[in-house]
Amino acid sequence: MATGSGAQRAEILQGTLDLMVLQTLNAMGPLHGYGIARRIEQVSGDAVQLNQGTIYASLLRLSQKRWISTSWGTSDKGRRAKYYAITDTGLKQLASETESWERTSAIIGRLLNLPAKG
Amino acid sequence: MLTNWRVFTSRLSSIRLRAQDRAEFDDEYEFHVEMAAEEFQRAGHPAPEAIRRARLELGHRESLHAELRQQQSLLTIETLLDDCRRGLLNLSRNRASAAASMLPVVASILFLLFLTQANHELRHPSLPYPNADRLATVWRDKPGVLFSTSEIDRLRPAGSPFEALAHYDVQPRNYSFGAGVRSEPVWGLRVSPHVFEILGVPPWAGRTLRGEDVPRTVVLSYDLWRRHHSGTYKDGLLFPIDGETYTIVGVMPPNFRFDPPVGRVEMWVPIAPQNAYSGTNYRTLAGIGRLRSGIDFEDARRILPIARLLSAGDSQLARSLEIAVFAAWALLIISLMSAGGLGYAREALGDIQMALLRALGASRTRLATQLAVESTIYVGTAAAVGWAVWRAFGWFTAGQAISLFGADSRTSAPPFDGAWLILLPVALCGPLVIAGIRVAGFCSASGTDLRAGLLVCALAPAIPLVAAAITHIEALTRTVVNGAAMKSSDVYTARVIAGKISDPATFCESATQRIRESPGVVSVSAVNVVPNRGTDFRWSYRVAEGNPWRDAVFTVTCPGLFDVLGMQIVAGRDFRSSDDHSGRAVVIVNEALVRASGAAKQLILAGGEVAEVIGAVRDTTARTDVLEMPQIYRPYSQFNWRAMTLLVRTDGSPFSGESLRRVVDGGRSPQALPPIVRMEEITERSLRPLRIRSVLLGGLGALTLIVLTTSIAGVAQLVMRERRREIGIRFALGAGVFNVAKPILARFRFWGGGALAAGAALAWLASGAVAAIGPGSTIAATALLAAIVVCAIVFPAWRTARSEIAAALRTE
Repeated sequence: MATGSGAQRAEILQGTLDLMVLQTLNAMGPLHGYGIARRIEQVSGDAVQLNQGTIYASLLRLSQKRWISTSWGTSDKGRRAKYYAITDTGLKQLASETESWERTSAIIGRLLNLPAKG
Repeated sequence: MLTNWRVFTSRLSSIRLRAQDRAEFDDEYEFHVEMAAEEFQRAGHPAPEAIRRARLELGHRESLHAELRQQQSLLTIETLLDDCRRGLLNLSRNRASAAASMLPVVASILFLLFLTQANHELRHPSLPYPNADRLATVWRDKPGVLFSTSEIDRLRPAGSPFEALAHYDVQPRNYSFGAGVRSEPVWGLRVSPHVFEILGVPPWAGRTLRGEDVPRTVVLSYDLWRRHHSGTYKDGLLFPIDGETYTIVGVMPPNFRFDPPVGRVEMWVPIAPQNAYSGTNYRTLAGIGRLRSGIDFEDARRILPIARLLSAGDSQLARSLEIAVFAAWALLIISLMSAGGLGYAREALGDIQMALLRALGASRTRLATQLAVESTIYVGTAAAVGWAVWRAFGWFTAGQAISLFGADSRTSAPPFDGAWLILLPVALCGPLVIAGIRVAGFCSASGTDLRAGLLVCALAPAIPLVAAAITHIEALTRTVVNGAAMKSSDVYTARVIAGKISDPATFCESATQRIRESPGVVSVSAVNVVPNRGTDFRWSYRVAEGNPWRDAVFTVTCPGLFDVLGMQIVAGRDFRSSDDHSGRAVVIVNEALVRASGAAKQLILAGGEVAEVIGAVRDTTARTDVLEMPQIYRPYSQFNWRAMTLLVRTDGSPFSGESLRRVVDGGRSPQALPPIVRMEEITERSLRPLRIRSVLLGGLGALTLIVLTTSIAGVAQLVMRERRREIGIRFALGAGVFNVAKPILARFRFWGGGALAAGAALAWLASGAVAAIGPGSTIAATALLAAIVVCAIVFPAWRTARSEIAAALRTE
C-alpha cells in the first residue's frame, strides 16, 4: 500500500518487475496478484512506486512464458482468488536472471566507485 | 525460441477463451479492489473513499483489461478474423448484388469443370485395345502432317519413346471382296507389319501380318469372315479379292476396329514399301506407336509430334472442347473483373464502411487487406458453390457429358480428379483480380479516369471470346446456307465398285441410265467421294507454267452431279458423255478457285496434264474446312476411279435397297447390296463439330455480353451518382441524352479505347494459337462491345437525368 510521498519513491527499472515477481513467488510460495504487489512494496520499504495495474501485465507475461502457473483458490478471508506459483522453468529463469542482474549490478557498482580524476 | 513458441500458443488459445478470460479478470480485479479497500479502511478511510482509492491505485478496469487484451492477442489473426466477419456481413447485407456478380463466376467455374471433365473423358479413348491410352498417332513434323513413302524413315528417330512403331495409309481403299453373286465392296487398310502387335490385339484365328508377307496377303475382320464363311478357320485359305487371289492369314476377333478415319475397315493388307507415289510429296502415311513403360505422354510429345489415338469424330470434338475450355477461362476472368468493378461501384455508391475506415485513418495496406479477405470469401464461396453443383451432377458428367456432344460415353475412363487444377488457381488468383480492381479504384490517386479505365478492362479478354463466337456462328450459318443450297433432301447414296456394274468406260451411262428408269427417281449421278462426307482427295493445279501450285479438292463425277445436288452452274456447262478419253481433258471448277486463281481457261494439273475449264459452279458445301477451298471436278470417263458412290434424287418417295439391287444387278453381274445412306445424314454428321463449337462459344459469348453490360452499367451508375445534380440541371435545361452522357463517355474514352485495342490484339494472338478468329469478326466484336459500353452508359444517364430533374430544380 503506497502511503509515502511519491517524490521519495523510485520508479521500477524497466524490465525488473518480472524479476521481482518471480523472486517474490519463489520466496513466498503461491500468492494472488494483490499479495504480490503488496509484498514488493513492503520489501522495498514502500520505496518502490508500483503501479499496481502493471503487476497483472507482468503476471500475464510470465504466465504466457510458462514461468509461472495459475490456479484458483480461496484467500484467508474465504474469498475466491487467483493464485500464482513459480514453475520449474521459472526457477531456472530466475536463477539465470539473478546471475545476470548481479553481474550487471557489480559492473555498475565498480563503475560508480571509480575515483574521480584529480 | 521455445519461449516465443509458448507465448504464441498462449495467445492463440486466448482467442478461443476470450469470454472466460474476461470473467476471470473481472473476478481478479474485484478481489484486488476489495483487498486494497480493506487496507485503506484500516488506515482510517471510510468505505466508499477506500474503494475509490483502491480503484484509482489499481487503474481503470477497462483500460487495464484492454492492455492485457493487447498483450494477449495475435494481431494478424484477429484482424483477419475481423475482416472475415466483416466480409461475411457484407455478403449477407448485399445479398442481391453479391449474387448478381457471383452468378457469372459460379457459371464460369461450372462450365470449366464440366468441359474439362468431358475433355478428360474424351481423351481417354474407349478403343478396344489394351492400355489404349499408351497408343499414339505420330505425325511428320507437326500434328496433322502425314508422311510420304520416302519420308517414312523419319518415323524412327534415335531415342524413340516408343516400344515399337508402325505406319499405315490413312486413306482406306475399296476392294471388291469375293466373286460373283456374293461379292461386295469392302474398305481395306494398308498397314505395315506389327500394327496389330502395337495395338495389342491377338487374332481370333490364324495370325496377323508379318514383314515377309507378300502383297496379296490379307487379315479379315470377324464380321467379314462370318459373312463369307460359316465353317472353321483354315490357314492359307485363298480368296478372290479384286479379281486376284489373296491368301487369308488371319481373322481378327469380334468388335476389333482399326479404321481411321473413313468408313468401316474390314480387311488389312500389307503396305507396299514403294507405291505409285514413291518419291513424290503425296503424303498419306501416319505412324502409330505404343509408348515405353515409364514414358509419360506429355514427355513423348516434346520429342515427337504425337496425338492420342482417337477416332476422327472424337478428335474434332476434343478440339471443340479445348477451344470451349479456353473460352470458359476467358469468361471466368471477365466475370472476376466485372465482380471487382461492381464491388467497387457498390462500395462507392452505398457502402459507407470503406469511407469510414479511410476517414479513421486506415492505411492503404489495411484497406487492401480487408478487400483481399472479402474477395477471398467471395471467390471461395463461388468456387464452393460451383464445385458442389458439379459434384451434385457427378453421376451425369461421369458417363454422359460427352454423349451430349455426340461421342460414346467413356465408361472405362478413369475418374476425373483434376478439379483442383481449376479450383486452386481460381481460389488463389481470383481474389487478387477482384481485390486488385477494388483496391486500385479506392486507392487510385489519379482520379476517376483511371478508375473508369480499371473498371472497363474486362473488355480486353471479352473481345477474343466474342469474336471467336461470331466467327464460328458466321461459319455455321454460311455452311448451313451453303449446305441448304445443295438441296440434299431426297438424295440417297450407295457406294459401288464401278467395275462390277459395267465396263468402266460406260459406267456413267449404263448405271445412271438404268437407275433413272426406276419409279420415283428424278436424277442420278455418281462421285468418287460424297460431298460433305468429311474427307476428300486433293490434287495440285496451277494456271500457267511458273505459277505456284495450289491444292484443290478433287472430285471425279459422272454427268448430272450438279443437277442431282441442286448446285448452280454459274458459267459454262455440265459434263457430257462426249467428254471422254478421246477428247480434250476437261474440268469444272468452283467459284473459290476462280477467286483464287482468276477465270482461267485451262489448268495445269499435277502430273502435267492440261485440262480445259468448261464450267464453274457456285461454292456449295456443308464442310467448313473446304468452304473457301478451290474445287476441281473431272469426268469419270476421263479419270477412272474404282469405287464410286451413286447419288440418286427421288421425287420424295424413298429409294429402297431392293430397287438398287434390281437396277444394279440388271441380271448381268449381281453383287451384294450396298448400304444406302441419306445425304442429309452425311451432311448432319459433317456439320456436327462446327455446330457443337458454335453452340458452346455462342453460349459463352452471350454470357460474356450479359456480364459486361451489367458491370459497365453498374460502374456508369457510380460515375453518374457523383455528378447527378449536374446531370439533372443540364437535362432540365434542355440538354439531350447524349450531351448529358458525353462527359461520362469521355471518362471511359481513353481507357475503354485502350481495352478495346488490347482486346483486338488478344484476338489476333488467339487466332493463331487457339481458334480461328476472322479479322471481320474481331472488328464486329470490337464494335459490338463499344456499342454496349455506350448503351450501358447512355441508358443509366437518361434514367438518372430524369429522376434528378425535380431535385435539381428545387435546389437551384
